[in-house]
Amino acid sequence: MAWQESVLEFARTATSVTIEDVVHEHARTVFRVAYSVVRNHADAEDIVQETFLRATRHGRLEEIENHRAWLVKIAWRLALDRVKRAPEEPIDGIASALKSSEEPLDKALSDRQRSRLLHQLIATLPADLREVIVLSTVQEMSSVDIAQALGIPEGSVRNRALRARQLLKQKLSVWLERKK
Amino acid sequence: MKQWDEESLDRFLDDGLSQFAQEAPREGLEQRIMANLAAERSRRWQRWIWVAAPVFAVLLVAAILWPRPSEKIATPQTAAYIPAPSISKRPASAPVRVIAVKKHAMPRSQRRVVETATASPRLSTFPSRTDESQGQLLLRFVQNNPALAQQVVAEEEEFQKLAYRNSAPSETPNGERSE
Repeated sequence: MAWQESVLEFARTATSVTIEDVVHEHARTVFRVAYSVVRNHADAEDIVQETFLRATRHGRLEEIENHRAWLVKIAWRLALDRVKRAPEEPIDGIASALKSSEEPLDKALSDRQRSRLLHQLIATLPADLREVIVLSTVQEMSSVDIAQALGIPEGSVRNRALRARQLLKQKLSVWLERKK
Repeated sequence: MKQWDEESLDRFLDDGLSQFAQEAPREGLEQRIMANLAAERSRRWQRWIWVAAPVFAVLLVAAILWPRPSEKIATPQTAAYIPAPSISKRPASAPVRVIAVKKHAMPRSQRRVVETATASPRLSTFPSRTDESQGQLLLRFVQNNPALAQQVVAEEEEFQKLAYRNSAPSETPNGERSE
């Protein structure tokens, strides 16, 4: 009967969502988002703790349609506030490593050095492009999630990600030319 | 020669961006988060206790010291002495009716109840009696003491007869006055 189905549907959707469920499902994603901005474990975990504290204060978690996007939004803002206060990490050693190496670019640097270089280059991007490209580096984040987290249309996410990548490529090329 | 062509740059960016945020947190992240949330709940309760305890203490003291309605002193209005309305004093010429009451066949002179037409004396006790007319007083007396009232009436009639006989001299059949 239709009324029975609607009752079952209501019962399923009305099931309360616990904070424990949300933590187990999205804690790592939130951590990665925080790390992509602050670039160190300690700050990233602080941001994760603060994010879930704020989530519990909200109260009714079942009212949130997309928990991932909602948590990422909170963590993103906290991470940006933290980064404003953090000093920039020098990348001069990376240039010397590139000069001294005969390897191709994608193999000349260690993973850590590559991340540091990219981080510095991404920091020079315009804010609207920067936030999209950083969130797109988190594997769990789809374009829909990014759009909801940033409050922009999904089409804008794809356009901005493409423009950001092109700009990064230009900046990297310029930077490598300067360091020759 | 450095291999910094387009292909290298693309590979560099692809690899770099794919690994950019792929850091794993320290083991037990979820447990640490839940422990922190539990500690926050506990801290919130403690904060509430620190706030609620003094408030509760103040309310308790206020409840104990607050005067209750039954302890309040009666308003002056309820305890006020209501004076009996002034009644004009008995005119000097008004006679004082003396009603003789014979009780248990005792002589009239031994038992007398005097009621005056004047206002009742003001009582020192509260509440003061409101004024009643002489007729209402008499009516109440008759209602409360019917037998006695009948006796009083009978005595009054006899008294009136005696008073009339004494006032009007009688004549003997021989024409002589008798005292």
